[in-house]
Amino acid sequence: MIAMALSLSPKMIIADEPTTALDATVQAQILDLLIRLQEESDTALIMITHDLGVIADIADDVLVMYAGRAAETASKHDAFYQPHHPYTMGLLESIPHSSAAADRLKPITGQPPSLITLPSGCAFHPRCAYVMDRCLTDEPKLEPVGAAGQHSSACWLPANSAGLDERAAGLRRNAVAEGRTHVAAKVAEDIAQSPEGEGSVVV
Amino acid sequence: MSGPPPSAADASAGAMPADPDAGAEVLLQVDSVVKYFPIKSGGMMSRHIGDVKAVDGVSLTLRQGQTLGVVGETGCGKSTLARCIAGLVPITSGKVIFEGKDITNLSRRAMQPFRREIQMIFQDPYGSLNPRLRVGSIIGEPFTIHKTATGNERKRAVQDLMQRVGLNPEHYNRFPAEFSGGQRQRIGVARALALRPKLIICDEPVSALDVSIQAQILNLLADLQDDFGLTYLFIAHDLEVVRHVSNEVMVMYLGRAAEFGPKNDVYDRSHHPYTRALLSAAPAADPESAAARQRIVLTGEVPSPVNPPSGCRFHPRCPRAQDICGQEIPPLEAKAGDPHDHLTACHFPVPAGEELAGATRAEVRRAR
Amino acid sequence: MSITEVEFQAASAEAVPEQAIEGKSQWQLTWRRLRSDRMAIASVITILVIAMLALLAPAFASLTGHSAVQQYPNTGLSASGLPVPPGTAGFWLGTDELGRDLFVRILYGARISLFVGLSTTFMATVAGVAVGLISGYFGGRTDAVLARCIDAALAFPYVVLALALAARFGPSLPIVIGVITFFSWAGVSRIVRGQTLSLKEKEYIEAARSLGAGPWRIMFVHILPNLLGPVLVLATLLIPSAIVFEATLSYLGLGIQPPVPSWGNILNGAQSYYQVAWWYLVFPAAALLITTLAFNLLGDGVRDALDPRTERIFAGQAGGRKKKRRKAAAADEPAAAIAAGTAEG
Repeated sequence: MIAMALSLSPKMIIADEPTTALDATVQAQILDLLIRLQEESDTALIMITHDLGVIADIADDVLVMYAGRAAETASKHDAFYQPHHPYTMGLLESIPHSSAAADRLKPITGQPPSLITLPSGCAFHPRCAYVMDRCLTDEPKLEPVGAAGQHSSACWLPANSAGLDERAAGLRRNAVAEGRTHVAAKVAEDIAQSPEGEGSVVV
Repeated sequence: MSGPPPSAADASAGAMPADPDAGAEVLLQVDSVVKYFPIKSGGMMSRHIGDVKAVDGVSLTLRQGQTLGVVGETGCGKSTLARCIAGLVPITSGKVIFEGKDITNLSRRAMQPFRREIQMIFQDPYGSLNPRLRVGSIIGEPFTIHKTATGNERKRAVQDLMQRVGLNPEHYNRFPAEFSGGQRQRIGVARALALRPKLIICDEPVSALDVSIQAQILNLLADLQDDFGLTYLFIAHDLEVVRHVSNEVMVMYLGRAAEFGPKNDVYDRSHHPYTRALLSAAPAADPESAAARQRIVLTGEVPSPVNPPSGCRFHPRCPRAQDICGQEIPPLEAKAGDPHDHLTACHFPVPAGEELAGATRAEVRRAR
Repeated sequence: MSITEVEFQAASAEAVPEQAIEGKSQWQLTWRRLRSDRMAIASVITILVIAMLALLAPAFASLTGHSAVQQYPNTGLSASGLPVPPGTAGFWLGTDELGRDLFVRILYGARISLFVGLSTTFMATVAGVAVGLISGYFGGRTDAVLARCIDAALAFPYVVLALALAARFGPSLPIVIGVITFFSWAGVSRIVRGQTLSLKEKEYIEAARSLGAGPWRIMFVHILPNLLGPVLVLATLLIPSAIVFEATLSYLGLGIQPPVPSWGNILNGAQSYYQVAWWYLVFPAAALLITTLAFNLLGDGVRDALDPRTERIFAGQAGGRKKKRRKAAAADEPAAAIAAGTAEG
């Protein structure tokens, strides 16, 4: 199938879950192949996958989608180490980490929404630990966050929240044991003090 | 309580793996189980021309309350092994002993009481539920089959189960099509749990689910294990998931066990080259460690189980193979310096601390 | 509070959007699609009309004052002894060569046709499903034997069988029913066996076995409901073939004997007189044609309703059907369309 896709020497390849059903060693071979071919022909590659390991391996930039909308766009480094959108953070936290001692994983509560009746405002708000009043009424647009211009997030949380930085640091240390409540309280405090924050925070 | 005596019958199986937790009862003993699927040439006068050697001598011991993770790639026989233990597939040779009783190849009638004790959760949340039956009927079926509850009592029991697994009991009359993948898997869990089994065999229960839903189901399984004192045989190909849920891990390759032991021994101090290769193949969800990862590249493809290699099944692809590897089947045994419950089937195991030759992705690029 | 309960509450917090889409069973969705299929509705109406007429045959007999078997040579035959045309002397569709009321005879013939069609189809379906299920599920020697039986039944020369039985026992209705049933069950069986063989491999069947379900439970609770769709289509299409078969046998003199009317034996009489009495041929033939066509179109409609294929919707079939479906899909029932997709998938 890859040969078929490459036979016309395209400038861009869209790979839709190419490794989903495959074993780890075969997946590694496929990824190697895709990368090598990409390098040889300078082809752009859009890789659609739900496997964060694959993204960590080969991606340069990451686009996180939720309910048909863009939640966050960032470089790979920012997406994994400085995520802004609570959904991205939720995904990263729900993976079993080898170094984490915790017995329980931290899934994102609830289910993905039905696309027929999306929640009002931000589609993620029913499952978000940081939901504010505004999130129920206004759909957030992708806005730049963080230092450089590459990182955008569709979320009403303030861009440079110290609480979010701390949480991101926690992710980086794989300290999954660090309670969500602690960090969320810090975020709540932060939001209450910032001029943009309004309404309540549900923890 | 001492472990069971090693099996004398099949040299390829080697010693019976024993559990360090000597306090818990032995729930399940699998003794040199072999399962061959005969291949027949087609037509009226079909001849037996070969066998798919799906499982070729696997032994294990599982104690109450423990979780044994079985990992391996497609074709290694882990699903077949699960079905042998669950009695869904007749065993070619070997024994399955549950709570001291031999349940190998029992008739359907004789197996019936054991079906209440041994249950299965399947991989495909879309295929493992009958699309024409309502959820209440699906979950309630064990009660109907074993005649343990009827009518309103059954409905109450089913709704209680639904609540336990995180489903809305009011959805009792819905069809599986109306649920998401994660919810369907919960239905499967509820069904398996109905008769309060002792052992649940989970055949890749989260492989078909999204990452965040996976975490929900894994938490659910952990909770249920605590609440009901369940024992799990957990089959998966995702190494991180297996590490998270298991106490002990068995790595399978082409129908045999390559390595067996407490999870930290297998993950951090593995000896078998295949285990090493497997561990190095899957990137962690962390860019820095993914970049730094030394991936061991295996040459060749996984051979067909119809004609497996002689001796050690892994030898054609093994970077450390020598002549003896193709001649003699390595026994599954504890290597020098290892605890008695960490077993490896290899003639030239990789010592702990030594690395198997591998390369990072950047290094491979530079080398080209 | 355990995490599972928290998750459950989070899930039920979304209960409102969930309930807005009421899921439907396969049958509800099929019914809905069938209702919007104009051709199928027309067929159903036609069949109902025919059934009504057949049921009310005695009423029409008394209405016209003519019975089905009675000859009326004085009013029913012309001066030269030929059948009279429709409308003459209270004979709504004319008479046959013996002066019998054609209309009343056709109505009584409808009774035979419908009775034979429905009863043979019912028995053939029950027998066919049973044999197909058993053969497909158990496999092995049972299947080897039963599959050969099915093949034999399919290869059988039925008219010859009818001839032999008629010669031995004299032609009669029970023989007709027996022969037609014997002819029809094997086709059902073969399809059911094929479906069973593939359904048997599904994971939910394996799950049922792991729960301890026995073969009978699996066959009738798990496999059978998943078969009903194709079986329903098959049965609907069997009815017209049974009707035609009965007409054929009666036409050949192996079935219903005159004076008892059957469309087949009426047509037999008509073949000698149609040149002077066109109505004698046209009306019974039309009755047979319309009935068979109605059942066939209904069968098509049921098949489409059970298993809609997107290509057919857009490839354009009967124009009305296409427009109606597009409208239904776009405007008022998007949820049902998607639910249909998931239900079928």
